[in-house]
Amino acid sequence: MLVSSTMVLTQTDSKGQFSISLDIPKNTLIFFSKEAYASKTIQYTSENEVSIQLNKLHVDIDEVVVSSINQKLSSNQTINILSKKMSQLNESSFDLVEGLSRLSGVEQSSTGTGIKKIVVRGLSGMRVVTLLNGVRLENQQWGGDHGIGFTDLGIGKVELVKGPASIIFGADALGGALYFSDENYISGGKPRSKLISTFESSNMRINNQLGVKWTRKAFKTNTLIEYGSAADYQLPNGLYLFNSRYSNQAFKTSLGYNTDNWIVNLRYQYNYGILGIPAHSHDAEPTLEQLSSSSQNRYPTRPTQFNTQHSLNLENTFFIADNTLNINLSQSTNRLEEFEAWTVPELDITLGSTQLSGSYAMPISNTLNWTFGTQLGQQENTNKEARTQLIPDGSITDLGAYSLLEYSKNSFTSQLGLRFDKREIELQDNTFSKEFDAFSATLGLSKKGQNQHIRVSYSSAFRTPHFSELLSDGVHHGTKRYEIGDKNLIAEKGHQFDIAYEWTGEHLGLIINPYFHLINDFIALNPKDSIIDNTQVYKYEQVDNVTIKGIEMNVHYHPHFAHHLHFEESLTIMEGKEGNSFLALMPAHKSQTLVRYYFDKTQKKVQLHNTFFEYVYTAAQDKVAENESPSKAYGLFNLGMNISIDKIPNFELTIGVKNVTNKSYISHLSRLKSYEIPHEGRSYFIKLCSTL
Amino acid sequence: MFNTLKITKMKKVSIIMALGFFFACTDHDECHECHIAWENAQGQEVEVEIGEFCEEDLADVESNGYTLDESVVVGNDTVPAGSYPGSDIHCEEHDH
Repeated sequence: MLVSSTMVLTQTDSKGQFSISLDIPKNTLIFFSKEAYASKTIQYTSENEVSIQLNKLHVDIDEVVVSSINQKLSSNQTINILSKKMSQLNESSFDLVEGLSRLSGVEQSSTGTGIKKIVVRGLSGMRVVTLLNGVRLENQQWGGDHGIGFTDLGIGKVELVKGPASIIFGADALGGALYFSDENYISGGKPRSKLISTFESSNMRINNQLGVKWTRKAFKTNTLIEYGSAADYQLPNGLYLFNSRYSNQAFKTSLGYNTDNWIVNLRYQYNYGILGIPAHSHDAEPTLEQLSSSSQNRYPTRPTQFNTQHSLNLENTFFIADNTLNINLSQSTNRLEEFEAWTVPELDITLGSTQLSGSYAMPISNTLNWTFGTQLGQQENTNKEARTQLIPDGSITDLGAYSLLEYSKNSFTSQLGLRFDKREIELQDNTFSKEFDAFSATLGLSKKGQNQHIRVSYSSAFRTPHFSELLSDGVHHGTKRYEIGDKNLIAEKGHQFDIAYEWTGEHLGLIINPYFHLINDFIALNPKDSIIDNTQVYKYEQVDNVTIKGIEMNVHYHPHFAHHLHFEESLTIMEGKEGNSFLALMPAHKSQTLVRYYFDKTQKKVQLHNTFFEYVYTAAQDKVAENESPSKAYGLFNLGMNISIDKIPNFELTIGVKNVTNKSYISHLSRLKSYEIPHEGRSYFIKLCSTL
Repeated sequence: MFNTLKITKMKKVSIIMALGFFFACTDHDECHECHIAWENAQGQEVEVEIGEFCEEDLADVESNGYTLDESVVVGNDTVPAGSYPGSDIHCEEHDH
């Protein structure tokens, strides 16, 4: 049982009874869920007692949840928000980005196993905004070799908006937004601790997370630490990719307090990553043998990235009669150092970010709700002494205001949103200053039937050029490119049409989601036929009439004759074009098949809970841009099982194998593709989770 | 009985986990073999080994460069004597 606004999670006893001694703000959504049952949500008014009955559920293709983005039920959303618990995503992959890439329409762009970026419907980097508990993460995401910068430590849920999302999140959310929410607090009683330890064989990766949760009256706290280390990963040929090693440390703590009309959360998070950059060579065309090693090491060598992130966030929610006021203040710093030498950095940049946002939600009538808000942001980019300075010292100032009107009656919901943003980019030495402003809009319609649900939406967004696109002039060592910016670039503008149709029966559920995205003034980094400093030149250029279209489908089948068997299929088909040419770095078509079998509960000491078999087929990508090479098709088998031990009620074990057939494959979005370096070979994994 | 068993097993698990936190901590030396990376007329890199450098000497050669007193013949190329800046000095591992 989750009290959504206070993020307090509790559970019933074996008889299904529960009690909670917290001040619950009026109109708070209380969410009830149980595995294999349809979840239910009620709106708390002032009752002392509530009685809830959950109905048996066979198919949960799109489970109803409360969105952390706007505190609305997913069944009432007009925009397409995909919500997943982290525990569902990292069942067979202990890497945040790899887990997210299991969602339809989501891919990963990787540099080995340590540096990974999210790609949403073909767009990534600055075009996908990442938020953690409502705070926008600014962590040098402009670089092709700059990873997501944090792990799944303490994250309970992720929500994904595919396509333009500027109306809620402001500038840059052209490709989509990832909204991560921390795990919930406990409702009271004794402190609870959790230990999660994982191991993967291909890179001998170990990762340990330890968390403690404690609640006393209106005070709640969660504190977690993490340490992980991975050696060079093993290729299917048995060799190891030299310098694909990495390590990470993290610490996060949150402190919450609430009364019946005020909720406050103070959160701090620290992440530190040491990330080897593989495939480093001074040869023009190094061979796989030159770039790999017969032995496996984990100590840091060169070239290496050091990435340090601190984030501090204060969230306030006030309940004033039937209205809700949110005020968030956050401060973060991100330092990125790239070393090729041992003692002198090639690049040493610190990005400081301060953000203030406020929103006010009020019902106008029983059917009409109005939300309006504003966001202010300031980013400061500062270089420290290093061999190169790819982007200059400067600042970005943001100011945005939006208004959302929502009409809801019976099974019909519509939403209209408008937003205005202003952004100023200025260099510290006053040699460059540019202002951008833009309007964004969204219109969404949603209609629910007995077994059906259809959403139709239009949304627009814009993205201003980043410092790197405007002012780069130097070697970017992480990508081995000499990058040249263009001061005359203007903002990209995106318009997306999205239709999602969902049908759910007793044993079968399906979602069909076609979309069309038009982007004007798209900024592309194009390779040029010239060399500077022994490095190929790439130039940022603006192209018009970029279109990305596709269809995403999900099917969940649960046969009546085999109640323990579940079959899930997801399919992603997409194509990106620039005029009559294909757009570079577009993900290939992909299908994922998951078959899961749940075992009956027995009296045995070791209880096999479920076993799963997964097949991921990625089609060949031959719709490529000029100077881009095609990629071959490949299929991967993964296997696993979840085990619990009856004598230790709070202990779970997951074991399995990824890439069972030791298939040698190269993703179209791998940055190591040009060196013909394959991904990991067969890898055994184990995950232990214990709660005290 | 049940609680004792549970606590004992959990303790074992906790100890294994705690050890895991330190599993990956390995030391690395502070000395590295360095070379001058010189580009010949064909644009190919030619390496001239200049020996092992440690700690402050390593920082000095990477920051301030290295002076090659005499020309060095490497295969068909002759790397000229002279001062090479820190950016031409490479001490990272390439061959494995």
